[in-house]
Amino acid sequence: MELNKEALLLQNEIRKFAKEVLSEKADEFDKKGIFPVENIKKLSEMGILGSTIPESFGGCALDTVSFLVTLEEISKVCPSTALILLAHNILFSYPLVKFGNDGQKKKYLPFLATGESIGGFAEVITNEIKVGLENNSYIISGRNHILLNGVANGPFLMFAEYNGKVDALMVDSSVSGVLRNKKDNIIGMNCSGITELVFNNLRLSADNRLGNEGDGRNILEEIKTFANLGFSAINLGIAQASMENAIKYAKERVQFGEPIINFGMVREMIADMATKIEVVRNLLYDGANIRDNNKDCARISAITRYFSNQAVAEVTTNAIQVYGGYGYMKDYPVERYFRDAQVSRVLCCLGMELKESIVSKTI
Amino acid sequence: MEYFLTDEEKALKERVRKIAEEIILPVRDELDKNAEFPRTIIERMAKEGLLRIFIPKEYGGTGAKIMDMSIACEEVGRVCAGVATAYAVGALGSGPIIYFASEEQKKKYLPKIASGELYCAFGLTEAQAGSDVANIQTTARREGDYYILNGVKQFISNGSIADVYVVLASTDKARGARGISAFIVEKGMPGFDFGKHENKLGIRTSTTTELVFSDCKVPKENLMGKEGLGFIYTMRNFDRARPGVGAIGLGVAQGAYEAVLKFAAEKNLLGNQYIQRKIADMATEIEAARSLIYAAARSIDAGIKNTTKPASFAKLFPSDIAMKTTLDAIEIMGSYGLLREYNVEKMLRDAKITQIYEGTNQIQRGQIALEIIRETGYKKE
Repeated sequence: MELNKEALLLQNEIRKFAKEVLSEKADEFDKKGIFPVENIKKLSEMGILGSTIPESFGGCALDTVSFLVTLEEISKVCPSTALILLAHNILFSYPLVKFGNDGQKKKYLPFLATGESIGGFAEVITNEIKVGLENNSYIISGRNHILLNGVANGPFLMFAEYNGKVDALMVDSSVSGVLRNKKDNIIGMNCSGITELVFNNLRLSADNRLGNEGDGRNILEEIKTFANLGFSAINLGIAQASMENAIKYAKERVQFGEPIINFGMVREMIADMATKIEVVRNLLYDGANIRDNNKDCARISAITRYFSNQAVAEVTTNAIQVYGGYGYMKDYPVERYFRDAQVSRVLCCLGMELKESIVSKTI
Repeated sequence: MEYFLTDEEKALKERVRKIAEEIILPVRDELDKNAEFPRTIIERMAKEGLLRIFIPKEYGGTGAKIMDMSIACEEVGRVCAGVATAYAVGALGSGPIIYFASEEQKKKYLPKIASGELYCAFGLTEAQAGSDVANIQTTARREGDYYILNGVKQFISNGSIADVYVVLASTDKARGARGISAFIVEKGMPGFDFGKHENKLGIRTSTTTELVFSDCKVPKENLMGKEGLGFIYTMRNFDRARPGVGAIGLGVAQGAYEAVLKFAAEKNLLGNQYIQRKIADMATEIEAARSLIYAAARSIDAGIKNTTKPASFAKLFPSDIAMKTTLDAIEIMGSYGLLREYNVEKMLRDAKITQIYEGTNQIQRGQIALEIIRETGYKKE
């Protein structure tokens, strides 16, 4: 898969940034669970926070290939930072651009594009809320275990089911009745600023709804199609970095008088990693091209996610295996990639639903 | 499945399950979070007689049956593989003493290990001697009535916690694997100290530490067996210990499977064929793993001469199943699976070590293949 010139230039720029800036504190931020405010600021100066926002609202409207390249490169060094960008650009800004009315767009997009506000997303799977409707306002109580970009305190998108209809709602910090609790209870992506969400009879006027009543399911499908590619790019970055680390280690580590890279059982693991990574990369950028050509990419994006979810689980598991006991210790990066991979392979994606969407689009 | 366990084995299984659910389950999350050694739990297990199962009857134990160890390790591992590791290391450390130590040494240590008065550990791995066990750099030099030990042991489970360590050191470097000897080293012997405490992905409640020997003076009586036989003792000890490691993996898989089943029931997913398929596969693989462990354990307990292959089978397959089951558990539970309160993320983190410790699964595969080549009489090259 050959990238075009523009995407290549961006790839180099992001790769350099990731190596020179992000790598410095990726481990420390993971261990301490620190949201990388300064790094996000630098990325916003590079325009990355406006990736899915049209120029008329101050964004840079990157094509899909370019944005996925960005996620992949950042994910190689700090998957948490890639997740922050994914949530902001794909899970919040993108549906707002696509389904928002003028008022909603003007209210949020210019600030999202510059990174002054960071968009969030309430994971659909872990939603445990009750929704009522009163005088054209949604009344919401309950909680959600996972709010992406919660600590950034920006506006977030959530889905609410009422009378069998699903609505997409935007909530910002101006309303009362929403609490964001930092909990440190998630296996990975420790510095991505995930919080828990508690609703105490939140009253939300219907002005905050994206699209019409009952549009939620379609909006969610649309988001998932893009997000499946986004998460696959993160999976790809994690897998690639894990493999590179495993290879480097295997070349240095001497046992039985020679580098362990010489041993067939290690080589086989590397062969499996390389093969799966190459397949993911081809699927991913194929899907991205289809999307950039304005064709339906729902099926290929689901297939890419399905395959990349399995690939990243296997590659990160075996990267630790190549390191042996050392890989199990927090001193080496493969431990962090393994934990982050669990998050990127399940967020916004229930395995059986993913398979079902592939089947339904295939048969 | 019906495994036709004896009445004693059934009673042991029930007893360990009860103890694990009563005293480990309520605190396993805290233990993992704080990476704190489960001292009171191990003490309670000792009080309940669970450390006796590693030790022969004549030294205060209940017979040192690998079957008993496998049953106990599974049941503890089902609740917490970290505690199971801290517990099972007692067997790994006492094994060499049981089989290779002198009568005097046995009398001195085993009854106290059985009662829980003394904890033991096994000091083998070094920075440059992981899979390549024979590459041990720690040396033991004879000086008068003492051996002087120098070197650093790495990733030692129960390091700094244990009172008694079986330590492998080279008494004759020129002889390589045949120059390795085993020593019983007690905490507090001059020149014996502890180094780095490891910060791990999983089994966080089990303490993993460096053992540091700087001109450590060990009385010559503490040499185990004969000089130069340490490597063979180690391999034989592994042959006996591996089903227990597999059983910890089996316990993790069983725990994750039960968590998935409960989750699917609560979310009304049991009618879904995607879920049914996963549950059926998990259950089948778990029973296959258990069958393999029991078969290996019974062979060893029956005194069959070469049990290297079944022991490796019983470590390799269950640990791979532990990994597969926990990865699948997270897939099925989706984002819920990522959350600490649902426990499978811990099981996943714990599962990974079972593919690594006590001989990586690559080492197991190599051993199995070599045994097969030897048995068949075919040539390797």
